[in-house]
Amino acid sequence: MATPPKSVDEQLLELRAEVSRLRKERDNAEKSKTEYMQNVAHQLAAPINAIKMNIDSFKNPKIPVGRKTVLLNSVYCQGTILAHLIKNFSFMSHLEAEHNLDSFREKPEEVDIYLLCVNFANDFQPTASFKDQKIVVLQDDFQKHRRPKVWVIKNLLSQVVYNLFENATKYADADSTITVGMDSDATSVTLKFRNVGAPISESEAERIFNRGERGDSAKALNPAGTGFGLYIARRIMEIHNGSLSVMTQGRTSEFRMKCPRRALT
Amino acid sequence: MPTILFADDELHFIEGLIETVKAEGYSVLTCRDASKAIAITTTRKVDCLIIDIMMDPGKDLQNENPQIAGLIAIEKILKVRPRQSIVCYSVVSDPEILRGLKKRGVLYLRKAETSAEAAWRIIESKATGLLRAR
Repeated sequence: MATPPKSVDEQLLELRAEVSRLRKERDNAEKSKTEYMQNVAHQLAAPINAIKMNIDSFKNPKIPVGRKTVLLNSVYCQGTILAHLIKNFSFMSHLEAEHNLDSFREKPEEVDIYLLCVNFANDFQPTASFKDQKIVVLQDDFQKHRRPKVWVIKNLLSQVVYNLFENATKYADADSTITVGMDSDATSVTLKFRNVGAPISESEAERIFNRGERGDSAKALNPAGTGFGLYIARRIMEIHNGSLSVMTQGRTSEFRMKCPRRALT
Repeated sequence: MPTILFADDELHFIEGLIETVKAEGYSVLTCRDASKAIAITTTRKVDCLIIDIMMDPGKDLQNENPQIAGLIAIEKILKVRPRQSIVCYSVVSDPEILRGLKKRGVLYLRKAETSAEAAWRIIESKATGLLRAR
């Protein structure tokens, strides 16, 4: 039997409910946008402010020369961090579209992945030392595999390594050690960033690579975050025909960045 | 020697100010979460607490909102030590929050808009009791 047509009142009620639902959706979207913009602003402002403050303090004649060297080093490192943060935002537009390696201005080249890790480890050391964290690049791992080279766009791969170091120093426990190891086979090289700290639950392990998603413990530890870092890192690895995943066990997280030795062939 | 406690989950961003305070001969303590800020300030003499607003709540406040964990810490500290000198050092500048801080006698300094020298002078005045926001 056919359903009787809805009365005008019933239709009106349904429409009102729909309008109310859409309004809520719009308000939530507005709220997310505002929060996102605030987080972006906070993330960009923090290193700039640190650089300003360090330069300002540098002028103080009472600060000993040795401490001034520390401040200068910090300025340099904050500058590096800032440059990569800005790159993260500019990469967003590139990575959203279906790009391949040929779409980028820079061309792939052979990169010594060990050297890249050591350089970033040095850049992050001042930040890590504030939490008494140690960053150790496991040299033996790299030597065992004869310091493999990968064929990548260096600028893009640097961004992945940067994002993984940034995450590790942000979320690892104080007084803990962050290690970067590696593994390789005939076709690929896998970098392993391991830290003990903010736990990533099983349900979050895949979700944290989505655009704008952050784990619960990460949000609690560090309220200002855009949830872009891992999304961008994974997209870059995919463009190189590689992958990025995380293995978690309790408070230990290991991010595995798999990079084909020859991405374009 | 007066003791200054810096409570900020991103201490590396305020390194310049910490060095300035140290160079002036003050004893500096640091902590990275709101729970530790409460624990330290309520169990030992801290001449001035410099605290951020957005920070890790830490173990004892784990269910609290990290966006305002510093404010919750201030509230709890003032309940135990109503005369504690506190400087809120943050980029958060919501007028309602600032009014609340003023009402509690907490001085607010906006990160990046205060030079190291000026910030130091204000901290020194708060630590030595020369400056009262009330």
